[in-house]
Amino acid sequence: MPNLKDIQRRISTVQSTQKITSAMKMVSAAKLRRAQQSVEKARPYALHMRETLASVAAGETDAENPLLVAHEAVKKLGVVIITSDRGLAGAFNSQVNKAANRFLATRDKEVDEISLFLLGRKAGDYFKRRRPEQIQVKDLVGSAITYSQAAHIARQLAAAYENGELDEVVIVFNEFVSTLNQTAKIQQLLPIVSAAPPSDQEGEEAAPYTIEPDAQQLLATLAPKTLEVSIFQALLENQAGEHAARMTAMENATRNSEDLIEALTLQFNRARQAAITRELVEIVTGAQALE
Amino acid sequence: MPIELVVVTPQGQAFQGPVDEVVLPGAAGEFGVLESHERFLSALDHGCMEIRTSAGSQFSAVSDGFAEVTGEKVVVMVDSLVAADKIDVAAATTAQQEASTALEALGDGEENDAQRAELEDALARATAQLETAAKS
Repeated sequence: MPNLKDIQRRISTVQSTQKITSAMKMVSAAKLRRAQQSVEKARPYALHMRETLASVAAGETDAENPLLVAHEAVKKLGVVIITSDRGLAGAFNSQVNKAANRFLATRDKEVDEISLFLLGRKAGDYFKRRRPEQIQVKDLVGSAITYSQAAHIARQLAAAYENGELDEVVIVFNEFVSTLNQTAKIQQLLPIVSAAPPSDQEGEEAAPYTIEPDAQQLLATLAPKTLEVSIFQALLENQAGEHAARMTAMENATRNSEDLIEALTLQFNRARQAAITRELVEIVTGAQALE
Repeated sequence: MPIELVVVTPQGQAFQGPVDEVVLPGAAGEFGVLESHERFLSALDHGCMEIRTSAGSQFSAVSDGFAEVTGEKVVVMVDSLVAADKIDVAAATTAQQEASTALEALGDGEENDAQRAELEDALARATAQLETAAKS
């Protein structure tokens, strides 16, 4: 039977933990709102970009770009893995790491060489132990995502792809489906898969565009941009997902400590009552003995 | 008849509304778009975008990107857009100087290609901002 003092100490420990978790929940909720906004704001840009690429790629058959052409044999695989820098977000990071690891295991035999581009401390920690020799880039995501950050990575990937240092590039990240649902998503980055060209409402094919300077040159800037946008969006989704996952995790933690405090308080009251009863019995027996 | 202009950046939609004319810094030279322009797709350079409405002209510095023109709509996709009155001239001047000195220091080596591209980008961006600030 733990004594009163011990129980009281445990209650206050749980209470202070609860304060921390509920504060973290509030912070995450505020950050989530902002992150969610930036995901939504980036969407129209990405959408227009993809549409433009699709219409250029569909309209001009003779214009080609190395980033759009698949390499004949995929021998060198590049994998970009995005996680958050910080933990305490439930299964958020481990689900991406595990999905990536499973994916790598399926491709291990087919390809000769795998290069990992890890963004986020958690991915770095996970693969540092499992595939240290394959890590090419290890970087933090940082607290504020900027477009130039995505552009920087995109440029490295594009250059490696054009030089033949990579034959295929895949990105693994958490897709922000909703506040309660983030799923690990594996998506091909290079070669760029262009969607079907947008058609008018009547289903008629839109008239071809006049293109300036020319389709070839336009594609040469458009293709890397599309890559940048894909990475930028993945980073934003990851950020929003991180805050959402942390918010949910912290809410659960707060609720759990609530339950724990309740159980401990009950235990405390029982122990106190037992002590009082014992004391009473002692007094009564003492008084009876005197008679 | 006004034409619908939409400017999107990765940071969000920067502009949407009817305008009389828009002048854009195309890769092959500046061009203006009026209503019923032919279907047109152009790469954009760092430069100055001018939006003309009945209320007057409005200048913004844009970074490189694309413009898609259909008869009734112009969609401008750029990395960033800064309205002329929001341009920090001092910051742009420093950025311009820093980028150009860094560029000179970098040398011609092929291994610095990626870094050079980034610096040139920064330089062009700063120059475009300064030009825009001077115009308005």
